[in-house]
Amino acid sequence: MTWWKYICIVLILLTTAAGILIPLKPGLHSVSQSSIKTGEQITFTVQGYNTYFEEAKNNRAWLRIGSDYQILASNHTPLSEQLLEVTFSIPPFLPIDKEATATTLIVDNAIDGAMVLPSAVFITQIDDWTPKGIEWWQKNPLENITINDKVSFPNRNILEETIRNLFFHVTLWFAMFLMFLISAIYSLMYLVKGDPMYDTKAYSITQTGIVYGILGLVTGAIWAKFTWGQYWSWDVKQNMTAIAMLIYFAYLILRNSVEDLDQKGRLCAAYNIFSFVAMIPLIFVIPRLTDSLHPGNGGNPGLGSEDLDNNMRMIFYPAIMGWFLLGMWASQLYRRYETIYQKHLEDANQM
Amino acid sequence: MNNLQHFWQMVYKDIRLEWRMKHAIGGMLLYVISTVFIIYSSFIQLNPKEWNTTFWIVILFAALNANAKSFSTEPPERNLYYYSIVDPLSYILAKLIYNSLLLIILSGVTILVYFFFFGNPIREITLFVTALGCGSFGFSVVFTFISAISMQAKNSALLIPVLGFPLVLPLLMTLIKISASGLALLSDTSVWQDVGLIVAIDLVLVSLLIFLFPYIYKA
Repeated sequence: MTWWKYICIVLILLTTAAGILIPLKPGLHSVSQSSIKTGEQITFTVQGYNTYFEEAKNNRAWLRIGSDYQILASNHTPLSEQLLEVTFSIPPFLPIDKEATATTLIVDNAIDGAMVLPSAVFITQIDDWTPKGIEWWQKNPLENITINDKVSFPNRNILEETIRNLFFHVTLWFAMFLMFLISAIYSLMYLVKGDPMYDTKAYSITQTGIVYGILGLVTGAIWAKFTWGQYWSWDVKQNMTAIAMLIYFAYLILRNSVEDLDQKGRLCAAYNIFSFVAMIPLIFVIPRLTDSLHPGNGGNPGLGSEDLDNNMRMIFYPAIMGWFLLGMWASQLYRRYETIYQKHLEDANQM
Repeated sequence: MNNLQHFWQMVYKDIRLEWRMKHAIGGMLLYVISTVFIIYSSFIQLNPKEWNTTFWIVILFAALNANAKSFSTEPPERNLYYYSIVDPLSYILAKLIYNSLLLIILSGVTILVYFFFFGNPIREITLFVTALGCGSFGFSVVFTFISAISMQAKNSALLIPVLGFPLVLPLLMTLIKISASGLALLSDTSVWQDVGLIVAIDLVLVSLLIFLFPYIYKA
């Protein structure tokens, strides 16, 4: 039975390559001007990411208020592929009855498609004449928008390139959870049937699961350094997973403090099942009840349908499968090594 | 005798045993009072947040002291004897009920000592008492299970906190959050949802304890 090992190799190679090589969707990173007054003529530069401002000749930029009002830039000069200089003549009045408002910057060209930067520029109004403002702000409607249908990953604020961590960090957690589940099932089968083979299987799978858990914490911490600013920020998800790791370390300690093989098997199997069930609210329920910085909580981008597009799904699910199979493979090797080692000990004792 | 009678006999036996070893129960009371006294002399004045946190830590260690010894007070031969005459379900349920009664009484004493030294910051008494009851019960379930496991292993004194603390941590964190609402430290409209979570965890752990105990005790 080796076919699943080939599947495992193929899945991991393919998903890793795709996860690293597929580019991020072109997007807007920042602008050089953050606030303007009405009635001014203003020129500022837009910093793009993965964009082709020079190659695509027909750049167009809008400043948009709400979903109805926008003005078109009067001049667009690409300084480089990543830098675009735009000039806006801000009308003397705003279309809404407010002193100041945030506007969304939209840039469109034939290669990159439409790119959006929310709250890019703040406009402060000096005089206020709303009907006239509406007239000004509706002259150039948003039209002929290009749709970029190249294969790419979503370009999101803050996450940016670290969105690729989905294929490594998150898949490790899913694979780890699957492995702990299988280990708990083997422990249950050991208690019911009493065959020591099940106990060895449960033990080896738990060990690989612990390695995956540590890797998951490390990849998460590196990701957190880039997005949250520090490796460990006492976030509820970090705490809970650290506790889950403590539980499984305790399992290893228990395993080493019982000598009788049969007794060791029964106690560890019972603790394994108990701790697996105790871990479920730890990882899946409690983090949902409290605020967290982690993606998927409190308005942070996560695994919701809006954040995970189809390209990512097509890599994410096979990647979970691949890492899970790799874990099972490692456990199998460990179990074989352990069996041979036990055999060796027995032979040595007989001599 | 049927199982129910066995069950009450076992609970009664544990209570009588405890009553005869007055030094044990006195020791636990003294533990509570001296810990609270240490907290008093290091803090002098507790604000509600510290009140809440230290209170639950005292309860956690009271649970450790009171329940960890539940299988080790009597010699192993006698445990084996009980196991041969009583069925495992009555045996473990008797232990569990006795342990949780003991812990709930200890929690009551702790809270009285706390009131005496630090005053009463509790705003919602129903919520707090519910949390205390469910929490003590949950701690008892976990520590009864752990003490049943560790009595068969070597260096069991070290094993009990190592195995037990990670398992009670999620319970403890949720309890501290619930009782923080009870002390009006934070306002949370869905706090009863958390209470429901604690009850659910308790129920799941009890059913696991009942299911797994016969396997642990087979030896």
